[in-house]
Amino acid sequence: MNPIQVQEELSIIKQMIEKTRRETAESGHFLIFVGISSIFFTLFLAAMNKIFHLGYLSIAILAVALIINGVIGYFTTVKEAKKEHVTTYPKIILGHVWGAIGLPALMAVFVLPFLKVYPFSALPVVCAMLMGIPIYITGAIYELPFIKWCSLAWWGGALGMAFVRGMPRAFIMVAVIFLGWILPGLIMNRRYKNRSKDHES
Amino acid sequence: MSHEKILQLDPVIHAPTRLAILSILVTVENANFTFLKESTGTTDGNLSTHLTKLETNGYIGIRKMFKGKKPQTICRITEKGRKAFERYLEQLEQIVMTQKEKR
Repeated sequence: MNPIQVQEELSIIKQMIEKTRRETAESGHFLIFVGISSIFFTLFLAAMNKIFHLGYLSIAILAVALIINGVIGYFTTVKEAKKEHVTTYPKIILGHVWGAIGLPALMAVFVLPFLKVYPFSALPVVCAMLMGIPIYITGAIYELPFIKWCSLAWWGGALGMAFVRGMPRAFIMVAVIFLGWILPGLIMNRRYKNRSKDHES
Repeated sequence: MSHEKILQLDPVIHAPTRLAILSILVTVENANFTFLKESTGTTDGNLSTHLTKLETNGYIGIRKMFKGKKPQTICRITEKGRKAFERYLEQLEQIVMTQKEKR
């Protein structure tokens, strides 16, 4: 086997790996759609609470928000999954991570406060603590360091929300959702589009 | 030396299309027929022949299933295939090293 043949074979391997990486880039749509919907519900909930002092009713609104987010997330991911021709290891791992975080998040919102483990007012802080984890892992798996830094928005926001209540807390949450969900989603989407352009050219 | 290496190279992998198929499958959990066809730029018949060869040698597993109403052929690399691919890469590396030493 001469050096030219070896180079040809190595070039085939490189080309195929690159092509597969392009095809399997994550679009970030899930984070963008869920982020926008969460910002809307956070502001809606805060405004309703300020005007009507909802109390326990705010939990019902939160439940509706989570269900709507779940439906958006389901249709976004299922629609994209139907178009996909490849299943990658990062996608499988991330699915498990989001699943593993989703269940504790549901417990944190709908079980633990009712058992008086912590007051309802601690909910945004607890949720923000949990949400930073999948974002950090997403950044690590897709080798996007900036997304790893976005998880700091969740954890910093959790700390910030511990000190304030009412509308200021809602505004912190909105900023955190933007930095911790929508921004990573936009970064992933930009990379996805760039790779698609490279692929077409 | 080069001649010895040719004899050692795995004949199942030593074909551009089969090498391309394994290069894709080694990086993913599984890939379907359409993806492999588009990536390798081969025809349906050609790809089928190469996939059968790889499957017969135990390098890949092929599963036929339905996604909605559409039939799908899903391929994934086996442990034997992964090891053979790694060995093949090592051999290519050795050939490159030998060529460099000769110079």
